[in-house]
Amino acid sequence: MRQSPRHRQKLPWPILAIALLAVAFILSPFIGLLWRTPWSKFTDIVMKQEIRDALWLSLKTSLMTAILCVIFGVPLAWLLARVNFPGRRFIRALMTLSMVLPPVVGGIALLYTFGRRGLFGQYLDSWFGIRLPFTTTAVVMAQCFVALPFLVLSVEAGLRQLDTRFEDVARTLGGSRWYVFRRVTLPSIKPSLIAGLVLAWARALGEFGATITFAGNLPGTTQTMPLATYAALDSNPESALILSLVMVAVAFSILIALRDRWLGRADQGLAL
Amino acid sequence: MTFDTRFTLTRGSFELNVDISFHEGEVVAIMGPNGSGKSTFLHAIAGLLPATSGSLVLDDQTLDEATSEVFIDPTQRPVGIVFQGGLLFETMTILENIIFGLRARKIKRTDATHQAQPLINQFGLAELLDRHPRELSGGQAQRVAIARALITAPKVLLLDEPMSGLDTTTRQLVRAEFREVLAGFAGYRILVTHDVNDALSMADRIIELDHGKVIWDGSTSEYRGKL
Repeated sequence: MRQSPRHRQKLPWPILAIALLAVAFILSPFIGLLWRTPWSKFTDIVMKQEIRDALWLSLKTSLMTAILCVIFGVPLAWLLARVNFPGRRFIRALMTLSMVLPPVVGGIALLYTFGRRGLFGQYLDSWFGIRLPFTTTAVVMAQCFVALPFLVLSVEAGLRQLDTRFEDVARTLGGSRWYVFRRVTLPSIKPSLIAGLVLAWARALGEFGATITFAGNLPGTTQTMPLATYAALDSNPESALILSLVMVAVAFSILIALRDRWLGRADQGLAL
Repeated sequence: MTFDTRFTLTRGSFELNVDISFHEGEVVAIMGPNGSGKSTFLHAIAGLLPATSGSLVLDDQTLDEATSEVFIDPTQRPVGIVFQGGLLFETMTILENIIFGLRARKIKRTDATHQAQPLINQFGLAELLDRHPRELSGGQAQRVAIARALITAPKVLLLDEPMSGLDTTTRQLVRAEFREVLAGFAGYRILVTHDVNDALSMADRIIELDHGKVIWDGSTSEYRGKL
């Protein structure tokens, strides 16, 4: 039944008031950030070598993580969505677990697995001379550990929504599994894939706890933007403000760029 | 020539157990309520599910034989399917939908388009080629789906609930159109439906399934007499 315009104009004031408080709570820190930013020093600080290193390292590692998440996450999501195998529920629970786990715990787990005296790390070191902790590779590993589940669960949700009969028809028309995946499945789940990719990438860009625990805080090698920001808070709060602002700008512009093209519809994949 | 399907197929607690011979030229309707095994039967013919025991033999080609472990992959079976609503690939144009079966066999786009011309003309699709499935009416989508299924020149044409989801007026039109299509197709024609009127108006022979078993197999006129 259609509501009369008169009725529609009547706003539920208590709900509105509470909702506005929530908006204000999320919005006000951004205003505080802008308010306190020392704009006159902006260029000087952003042009500093260590800041540029941190920004470059963050972009490089988070992009690498995003690519790795797609390469390893999409097949895993396909398995979870399409194949009924023993241990499927376990794997899905594992994905959710690493998503809700405090990242610092992930960092400790990585350290005691791939560290020099860790479960695998000791052999990597003694057999191949590979030491992972405190390297850029470790940064990517820490990011992948926390970001992969976002991609997997998003793509899996997309695959589950897709009627499997589309793939059936494509098979009967002579499409090999790979051809069908490439031409039918993948284009159909594009919104979920992009949403998962953005979530994983954003998660990787903001990664702090696992990185500082497993990869350390070495400028130029493992000091990403969040780490540099935190380090600057002690020594040079103005830098911390400007670094925060740069991260807000980077994250915001990519979200805006993607939103209209792929994430506009809330009914496709994850609503962003 | 016959298409002999004599097999059982177990899925969890459900078992489909059939022994049906199809004859070239006849239109057979497979009827039954939801869960009767219609869909499983269709999957077995298309090779999307393997038989648990028994065999499916099309003319002199064994498609699936449980004992000898012969199993022809769905990509290699001469079977075309038209599902309910057409199930056109949403991300492709109508032309790309029609020539999908040729492109999957690595035929060049220009050659495939050329090869598709007779079907495009037969189904009056020339005007629609650049459009996307969501811009089509239910009846148009069905015609595209049939053209897509026929492009690989299958010997068996499976129509799965092709009429449901259409409104009454469109249904009448599409039914007439389907009769024409079925008349123009020389191979084995199998129509899966839960609608008695669809079966009566289009089929020569009606097979009724229930709980995975054949409970009726006879000519349409006999079936009409039974009602």
